[in-house]
Amino acid sequence: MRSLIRAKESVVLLMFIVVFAAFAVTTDRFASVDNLLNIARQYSELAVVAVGLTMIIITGGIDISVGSIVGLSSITLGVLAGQMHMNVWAACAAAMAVGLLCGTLNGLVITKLGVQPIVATLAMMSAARGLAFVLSGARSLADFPDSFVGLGQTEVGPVPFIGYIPLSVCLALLLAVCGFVLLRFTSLGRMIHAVGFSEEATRLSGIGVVKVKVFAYSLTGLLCGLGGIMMTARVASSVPDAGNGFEFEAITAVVMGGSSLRGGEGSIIGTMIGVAVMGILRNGLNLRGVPNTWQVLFLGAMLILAVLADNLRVWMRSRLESRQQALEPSKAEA
Amino acid sequence: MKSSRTLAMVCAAIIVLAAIFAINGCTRRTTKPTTTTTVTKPTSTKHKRKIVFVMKLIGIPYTNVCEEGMKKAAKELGIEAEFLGPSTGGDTIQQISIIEDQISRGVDAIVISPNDDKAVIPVIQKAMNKGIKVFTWDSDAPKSKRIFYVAAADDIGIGEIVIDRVAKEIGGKGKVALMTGSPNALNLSLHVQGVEKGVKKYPGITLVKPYIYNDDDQQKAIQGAITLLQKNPDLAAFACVNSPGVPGAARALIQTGKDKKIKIWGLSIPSENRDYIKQGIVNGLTIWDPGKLTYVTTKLVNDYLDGKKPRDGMEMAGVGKLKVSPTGVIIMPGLIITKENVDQFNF
Repeated sequence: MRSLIRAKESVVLLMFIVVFAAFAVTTDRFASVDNLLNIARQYSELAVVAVGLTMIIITGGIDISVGSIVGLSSITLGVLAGQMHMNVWAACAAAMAVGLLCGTLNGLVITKLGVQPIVATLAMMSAARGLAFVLSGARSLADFPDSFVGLGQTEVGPVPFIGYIPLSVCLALLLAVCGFVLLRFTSLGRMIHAVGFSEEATRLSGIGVVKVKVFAYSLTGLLCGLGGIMMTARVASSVPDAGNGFEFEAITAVVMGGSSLRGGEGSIIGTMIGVAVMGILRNGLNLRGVPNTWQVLFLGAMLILAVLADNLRVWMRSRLESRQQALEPSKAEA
Repeated sequence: MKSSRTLAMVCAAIIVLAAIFAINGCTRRTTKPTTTTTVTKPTSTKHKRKIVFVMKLIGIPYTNVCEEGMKKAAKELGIEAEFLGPSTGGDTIQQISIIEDQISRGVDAIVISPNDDKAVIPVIQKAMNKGIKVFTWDSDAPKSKRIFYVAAADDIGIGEIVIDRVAKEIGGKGKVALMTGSPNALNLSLHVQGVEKGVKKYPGITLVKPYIYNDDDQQKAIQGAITLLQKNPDLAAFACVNSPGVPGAARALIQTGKDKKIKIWGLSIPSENRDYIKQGIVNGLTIWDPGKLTYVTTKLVNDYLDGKKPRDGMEMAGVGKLKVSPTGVIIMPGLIITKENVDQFNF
């Protein structure tokens, strides 16, 4: 019980179980392996972006430009490979570089110019989307070599009980593991937590706060670049509005996963479960034929519910701790 | 001690889950009619045919009328039909996800109005590979494997009609603003091509560049029109080729006090413009009946699933003769709406 209250991921895990079970029981074909892999494929890009965003949120920041950077990366790839017939892999590298550049710019504007994260990334959100529309002439571009398009449909396997897993899902899982290891077992991970927990104390202890923050934003930018490439490969065309609404879905997934918007606390495992909740919720509602206008209402409610549940958990934990402290002396006597 | 507590916790969780299922089960039945648009007719217990329409955007008057037409046809045919689509304009990726989810669901047919004619090609291929019949209506994806496309009107022809009417209204000379929706939608770019082709007949008319892109959003349409009016005080007319464009331009003219001085012609639906047309702010509309378009599409798709293919010149009740081209494009006859006849149309 106590460990359940302590664990950041408990709320999102409960949500996952409830939502999954509810759809599995009420909706035909929802729990089929085919459909679950379909969801995993659709949400692999969001998962990649959310790994970076988790780190930003742990530092106490926020990035609402993720969706626009995904779009810009997709268009960079489309213009270079589709229109200018550059080598598609070189174009992928360029798309990732563009993502990295946007992220680094976010980090520098926030740390060096002291602009609030929400304002700095709001500006990037608008600028990157605008640039994507300008570069593409506001059209989608779809003239990619088969080797690249095939990558979006490539499957790995066979894995026992599941069958063939899309490559993009493997990539997302691999990156999530890397993110988990980085946050949990490296000094950089501890610094990221420290910055979010108390920026002042971290600065005083001689850690380069600016470097840590710029790292988090740059990494997220890079991952958005990758997300843009993955999305382009999945739909076999580069669309200027790719990643539309990603900021909302990614932030909801991260917060639902137990990362606190106050900073200092967060979990990649929680984020991944959060992404899964978003995925099954969307898919389940689509399978039930619920119109999209209702779905966004559901998702908004989920975000509020997640924040409330998290507040409740924090409150219960603090009560538990204070009760424990009250009990300590009596234990000592016994 | 500790393990018994964990056990109690697990039991509690299971009870809560069971309760949630029970509630979910009950509310599902009562809320279904309000949250979905399923039209069912209790006939037999065997598998009922299911057709899903995936629009570019749902929740705007134009698409609501489409949905009504679909419901009417589904009721007459005794089949299930649903109307889905993204809730924000221009969301290509979301539209593809919705289509993919319908493939997983295993419906009989998917009818799409693609947001982007190229981006839907792989997903249409995927559906056809799984044995699901795919059609387009309202907007086409000509390079895809779709079976046929039901067009409201000749897409280029509509643009030509709009610019011809505008030219007549302003006496063949002056600056004309062109307003459209998302630049990726094929039907809209064909309307724009039609305007560009038609304007060559009138050397006195210049189209103001860049065009206004309103993303099917009324607010953006008003803003875009106001901005353009500030830059071009000598504007003679608006030519609009998507449905929020006409009322958007009308409101922009009212807000800037230029109504009735600048003409408006365009593609839009009568119900959104009835008052503007009667007051003379909007000079006229060219339109098809989107309800009838979707009604006819539902019937043609159902016929196809029954093994009956559409034929050129076939008569459709209440609509007229349909033109069917060898490339699988089916065209319905269009309408012209002005002050004189606006009250005859109730959509």
